[in-house]
Amino acid sequence: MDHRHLDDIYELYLLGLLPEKESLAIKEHLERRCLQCLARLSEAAQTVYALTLIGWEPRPAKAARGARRRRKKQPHSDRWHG
Amino acid sequence: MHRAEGTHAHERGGSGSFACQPVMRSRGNTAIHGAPALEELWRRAADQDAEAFNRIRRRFSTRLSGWVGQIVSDTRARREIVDAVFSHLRHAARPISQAGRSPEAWLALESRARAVDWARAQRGISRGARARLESLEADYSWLPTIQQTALLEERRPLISKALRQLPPSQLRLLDLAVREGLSEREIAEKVGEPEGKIQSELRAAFRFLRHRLRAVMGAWTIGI
Ligand SMILES: [Zn+2]
Repeated sequence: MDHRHLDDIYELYLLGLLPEKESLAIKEHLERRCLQCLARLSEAAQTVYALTLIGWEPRPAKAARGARRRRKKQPHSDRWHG
Repeated sequence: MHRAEGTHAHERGGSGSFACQPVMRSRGNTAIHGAPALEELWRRAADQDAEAFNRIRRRFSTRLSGWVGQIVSDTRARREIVDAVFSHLRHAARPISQAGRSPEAWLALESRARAVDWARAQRGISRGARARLESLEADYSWLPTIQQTALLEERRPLISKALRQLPPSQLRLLDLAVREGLSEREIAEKVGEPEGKIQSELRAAFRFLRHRLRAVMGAWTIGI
């Protein structure tokens, strides 16, 4: 596998969202210790972690649940905040 | 915007809005209310100290529940997932520590993966997110370091800003992928667009974020 083609997929790989065949090919490629791809995997882990930081929303107390319900009706793009 | 561990907007009578989310004290240099510093707790957890695990659990369970709750609506399932994550942490703490990586990042990724797999199972789709992480357990050197996670938390407003710079359509795809665990094919079916278009849009979104994150993690922040 030519790792130059893999730059954009490590986030998806880490998130478990690639088709099984593609995932297995990448798994085998990583097992061969491709340093460039391991570096990309590491970078992808930072991106995914950053997204969990931004995406996390505390479970609101009772008083705030109404506000949360109202917020949930917003489109997806409004749900990402820091 | 750092606050003491475990203080949340709603606990303090706030609105629980996104802008008032709690931030973990990653560096752990400061003991809170006489409790051991976080780094010390992780070190003890790596040595299988049961009390350290209990303290870590008390410290992180609200946050984990929040992560999982984004995806899993069922209260019992949520509790079981959080239990499973902490249970697995007992095995993972030592190798993560030995690799010099961040257990907090592992908690986040593991929680999300288990939550996504639960949601996928509800939709009758085979699991896969957790299996992916499992396949990477032999060597945790791909996880962010403790310093990197601390920097990411510190620069969270910049990350948030970068996200808001994405076109709304890409942001939505990101949401469906990251929070709902939909594959590119599933997203294509859901939004009624060709899979090829979804694939290129989603990958473009990650590419944009990757480049922004490089700037966020470096000293250079001008123009972000
Ligand atoms: Zn490679």
